[in-house]
Amino acid sequence: MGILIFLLKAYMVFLMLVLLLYIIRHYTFALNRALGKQRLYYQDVLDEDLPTVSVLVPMHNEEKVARHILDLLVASDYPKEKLEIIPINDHSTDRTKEILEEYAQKYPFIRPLHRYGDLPRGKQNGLNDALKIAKGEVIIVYDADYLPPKGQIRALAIAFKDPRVGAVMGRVVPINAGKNLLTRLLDIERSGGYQVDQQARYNLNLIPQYGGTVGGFRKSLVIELGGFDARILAEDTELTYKIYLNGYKVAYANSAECYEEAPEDWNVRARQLRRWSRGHNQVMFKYFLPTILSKKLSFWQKVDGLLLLAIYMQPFLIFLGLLNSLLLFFLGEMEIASSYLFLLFIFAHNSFGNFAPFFEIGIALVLDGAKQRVFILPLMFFEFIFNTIYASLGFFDALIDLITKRTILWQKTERFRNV
Amino acid sequence: MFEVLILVVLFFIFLFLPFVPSLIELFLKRDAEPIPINPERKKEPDYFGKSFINLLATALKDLKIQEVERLNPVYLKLKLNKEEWVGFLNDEKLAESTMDTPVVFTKDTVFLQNHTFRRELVVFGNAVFKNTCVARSLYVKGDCLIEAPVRIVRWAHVKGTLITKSNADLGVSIYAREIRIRGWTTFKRAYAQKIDTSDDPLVDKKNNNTERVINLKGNFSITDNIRIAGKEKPVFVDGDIFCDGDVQIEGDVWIKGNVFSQKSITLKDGVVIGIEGKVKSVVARGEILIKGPFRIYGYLHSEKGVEVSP
Repeated sequence: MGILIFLLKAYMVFLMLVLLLYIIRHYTFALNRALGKQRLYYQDVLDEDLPTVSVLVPMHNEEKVARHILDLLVASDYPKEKLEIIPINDHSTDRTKEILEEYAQKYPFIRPLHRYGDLPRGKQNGLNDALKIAKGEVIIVYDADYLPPKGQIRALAIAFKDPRVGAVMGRVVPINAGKNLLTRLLDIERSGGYQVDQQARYNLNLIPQYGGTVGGFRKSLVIELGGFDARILAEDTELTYKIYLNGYKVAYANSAECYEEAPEDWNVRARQLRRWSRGHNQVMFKYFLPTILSKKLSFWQKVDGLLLLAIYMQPFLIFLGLLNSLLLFFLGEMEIASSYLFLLFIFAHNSFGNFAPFFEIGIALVLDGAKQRVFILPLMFFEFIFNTIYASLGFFDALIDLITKRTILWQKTERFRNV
Repeated sequence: MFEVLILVVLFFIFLFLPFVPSLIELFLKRDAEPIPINPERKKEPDYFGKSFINLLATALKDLKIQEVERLNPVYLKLKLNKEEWVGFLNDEKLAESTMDTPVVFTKDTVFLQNHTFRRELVVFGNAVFKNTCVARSLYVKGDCLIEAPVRIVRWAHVKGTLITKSNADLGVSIYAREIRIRGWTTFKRAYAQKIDTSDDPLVDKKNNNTERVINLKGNFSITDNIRIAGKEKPVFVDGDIFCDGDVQIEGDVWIKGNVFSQKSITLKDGVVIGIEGKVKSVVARGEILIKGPFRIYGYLHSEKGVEVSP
């Protein structure tokens, strides 16, 4: 019994230390974005010698949104002789195939890739197949529900002039922000995630993340690194780590903003979050050790890289901590350490630590000039509980994947746009 | 019993109090629109001048006036961004020392007097500044020669050649077919097919002994400061330079690609950037300092400012 109580207490101390690291991380990012020097992106470089670009748009039953994104890509100001668009029709059973063929007839630079039959489903598989036929030096990826502005392909592709850049990431903005409570919460969460978190990581030369959409990568590099692992659901996070571990970097383009459609239904969001968590944790299992051992990463990049890898494991750790504290309470063993300093630390964490991500979001909203949205922040508390549950389930999924090596099926996020 | 009830009610009031502002915002939707993104957004160095002149042309078209150049002195109320008076003048003497409305000079104009144009100044012809002038923005349909101190607050758009022979602060954004800087000049962004500070032939136009030239091929990405000096031998860089630190380039150095720095850039004594007929850029987060003979084919950009001392 004594050993069990010791282990339970030790876990609480461990959890507190982990959370302390995340508090420092969130505050560092928030303060850097508010007061620090902002690293310049490449959008101001005007150059006529642009790289050839292949835009890949993975699609599975996207008849609701396919025309919108294709019309916007056709209207892009990128030189058409250097541009090709490859919509990847992945086993669609609706009218997606007909829509893509219609556009291909009209525009010679649209070359759809239809995937049916025995070909395995999933974004990673589709991207791997598209890489085999893509002619561009640079690959830009959009999910089918995105609405890229006219100059965005140029703004993203120009980053690859820098030979150290392996991938680039733009900013995602929900177009249906005002629809309901969920979309409003996702909207402010995205603001914090991009306007502060990603930009601060770019400023501090840490590890800004390639997000798999509104972003791109150097084709030759990804092919050299073996393409995308079909067993990993978060192909974007995996690519981020592959790039850094091979001495390249991800550039973040905060000004390359693009509308997306955020989930409007809690069940859809739950599935999306669980899938993200599962994929992210798969990457964590695969890259935790290589990140520690890497000779290409600086010390701070390793710290940031490890904290980023564990970000979807954190809710699970907190969940365990809650169960742990309940157990300790009923065992009458809540006195973990008698030092007043330790108590002060716990109070300080409760006073400031829990609010660290909130500060990030608050600063992001101020930078975006959306000050009234700050009032929504207290409701993030409920989303925090929701995230804890579904991210924890995603962690379990990844754990089972790791143990059983089971087959992984891709689940598409449902669209809500009216045709 | 009553006290308990009061306590329970107070407990729930304080429990839900933090959520009251959220619920008010949720139901009133005062700030529920998506963050605005302009779908037409693209990088256009001539954006300001082009937008203004399109507004002016549209407003005149609405009044069924096609030939601006032939307008006699007149003030017209036009709908630009808002409805406002615009002066169409054909003689500089008709302009007061301080003008509060947009002014259009309908033919070649020499500015002999000291003026402050608090709004846009447009010249449908060539413009010569022979006295101190301040303008919010400047649009010139022909060439523009600055021979006295001129200050532009926002943008300058010259369809022909812009020549500065005196001190000039050209504001945020300059666009011209060609820019010849012969006096101390500052700005934040400048775009032209050719921007130079000297008529002398520089390293790209000289007959260089190919055996003496140091050729560096490829694109370069540097995490520290970099200094390239072409004092003893000419240096040709056949690609771009991306640098996290300060960039200092001097002497007979020809960078055929872009130069980008997260700090400052100094270019002096004969540096050439880009290739004739192609657009290349020099972009810095810090200052860009240009001293002595220099030429670029393309674009200069620094939000901290570009300072040119020919």
